[in-house]
Amino acid sequence: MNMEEKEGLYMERLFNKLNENWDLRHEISAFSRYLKTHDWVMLRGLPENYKELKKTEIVRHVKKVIDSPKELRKELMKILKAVRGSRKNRAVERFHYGRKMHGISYPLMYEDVICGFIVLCSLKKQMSSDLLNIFASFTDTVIRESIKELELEDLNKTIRPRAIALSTVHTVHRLMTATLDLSELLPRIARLSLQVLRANRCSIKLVDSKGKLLLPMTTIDLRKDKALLKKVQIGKYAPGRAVKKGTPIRGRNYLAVPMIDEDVVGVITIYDKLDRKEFKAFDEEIMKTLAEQAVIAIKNAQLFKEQADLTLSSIKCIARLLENRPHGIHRPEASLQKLINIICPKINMNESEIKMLQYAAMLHDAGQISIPEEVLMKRGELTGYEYDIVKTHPMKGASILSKFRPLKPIVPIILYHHENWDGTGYPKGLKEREIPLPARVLAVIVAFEAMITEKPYRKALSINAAVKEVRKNAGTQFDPGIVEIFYEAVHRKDVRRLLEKELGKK
Amino acid sequence: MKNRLRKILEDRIARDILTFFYRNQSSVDTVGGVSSWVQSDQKKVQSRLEKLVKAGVLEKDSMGATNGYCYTRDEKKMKIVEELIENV
Repeated sequence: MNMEEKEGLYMERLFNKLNENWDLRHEISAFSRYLKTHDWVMLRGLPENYKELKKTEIVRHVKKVIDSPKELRKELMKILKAVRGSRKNRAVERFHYGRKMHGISYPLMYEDVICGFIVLCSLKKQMSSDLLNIFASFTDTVIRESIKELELEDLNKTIRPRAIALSTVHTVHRLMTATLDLSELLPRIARLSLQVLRANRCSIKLVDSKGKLLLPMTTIDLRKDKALLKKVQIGKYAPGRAVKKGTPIRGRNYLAVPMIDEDVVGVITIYDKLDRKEFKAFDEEIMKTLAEQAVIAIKNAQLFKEQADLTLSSIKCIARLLENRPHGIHRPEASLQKLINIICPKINMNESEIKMLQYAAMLHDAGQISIPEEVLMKRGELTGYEYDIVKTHPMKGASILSKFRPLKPIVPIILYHHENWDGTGYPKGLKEREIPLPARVLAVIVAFEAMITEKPYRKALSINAAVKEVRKNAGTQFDPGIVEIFYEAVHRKDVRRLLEKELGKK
Repeated sequence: MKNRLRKILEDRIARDILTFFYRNQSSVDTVGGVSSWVQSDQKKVQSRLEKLVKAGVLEKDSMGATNGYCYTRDEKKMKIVEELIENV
């Protein structure tokens, strides 16, 4: 569209705006009442000739006083001349027709460009200059207001959609970065991409460690319950080409956008818009922004996972070191973790609390590292002094582990796992609910573990005998509620099988 | 569903919210964001958003304290909304 066409379109919009402007209507209506005529017409453009003028409402008004077609033509030509005059002079033009009818033509102008005319007919007398000035001044004010309205409309049309899109991008960013779990994050990115692009299918693939393949991580297809997950070679198909080139690849019904950090991390591919229209440049722009956010969220999640894996490896390493000390025991670790996984959700512990308890279960005796071997290995009964030394191990363990930042949450669990329900435990003599809930669970687990594993100085109890012993101490040593849940859990077939396998006995 | 939705849309704020999502189908926004688009109080907007989610014409994506609301992708529901909004 060239400038002239644009201006024409704008003038048409301005004319339409004025045509439906209530202030202008009120003004004309007030003037009409004062001048005792209601015969006024708004013309969009200047009629080229008599024939065109004849098609306007002006004819109807003039016909009220003129009968003969010949006269009508003559009078209409006068009016046409007046309208042309008002265009030429950019000012109001008076005219008269019939014996004593008067009228005016007023140009509707914006920056010297005319968008139309107001033609007032059937005036019984000529409008005075003062009245004309008032009319012109009020009409110009309405024109200025209408122009402002148009500007606001244009602003609204261009800025509002961008503001809405920006707000969407911001919300999507918040939703993406709110999780650090990759298995939760990737389907979320896919769902959000589908929502923003209004499409049916989204697939996310990540580049493998060798940089040759794209591994399918998640695919969501709104039309199917299950979607196929296919590996793709880099360089092949739209996702592979997008990764190879490092730029989006767009087809009629697909859009593949690479996720780039320093290198290409993966690719998000969207297929089939809901309205079956083709993907456009705007979709590509939006998807590029989403992919930029996605890659940050993915990187964060990957880093978090690496950190968590590192923490777990360190814990396992410390646990192995403890096991390999002379007094160390071979622990049925998988069984104990399974018991924790069964018991904890039933007492409303969340996922992260459960994970910390699992770590605590692996490290609960870390403090024994500072207890002399001869005390730990002693076959006979401990002396009061020796028992006092043993009782320091929760504090020592808590102190050692408090230095390792990721393990801070397990410090109170380690510290209080030898507290008894009736307040006879150590180190603080806490009782009942004063003891942190995870420490109460750990107390049951480690006591059970101690009984079913063989020590250098005593034989292991059978599983049944150990369970019986735990139950016997419910309400004194242990939280009775937790013992009940433990009792149910330990009798589950899968737990029992795992315990027997790990302990190597029937 | 149509009657239930019609009843919900008797409320001006609910109608404004659904109209906003109908006209901006790619939008994903929080309660705060939607409140500013429909120029209404956040608490009132929150309750209407929940009603519209329950009616199945909006979807809610929650993560921690962040809730994102967006327009349905169900074609049947989209058609019903179109009829109701365009005929208001």
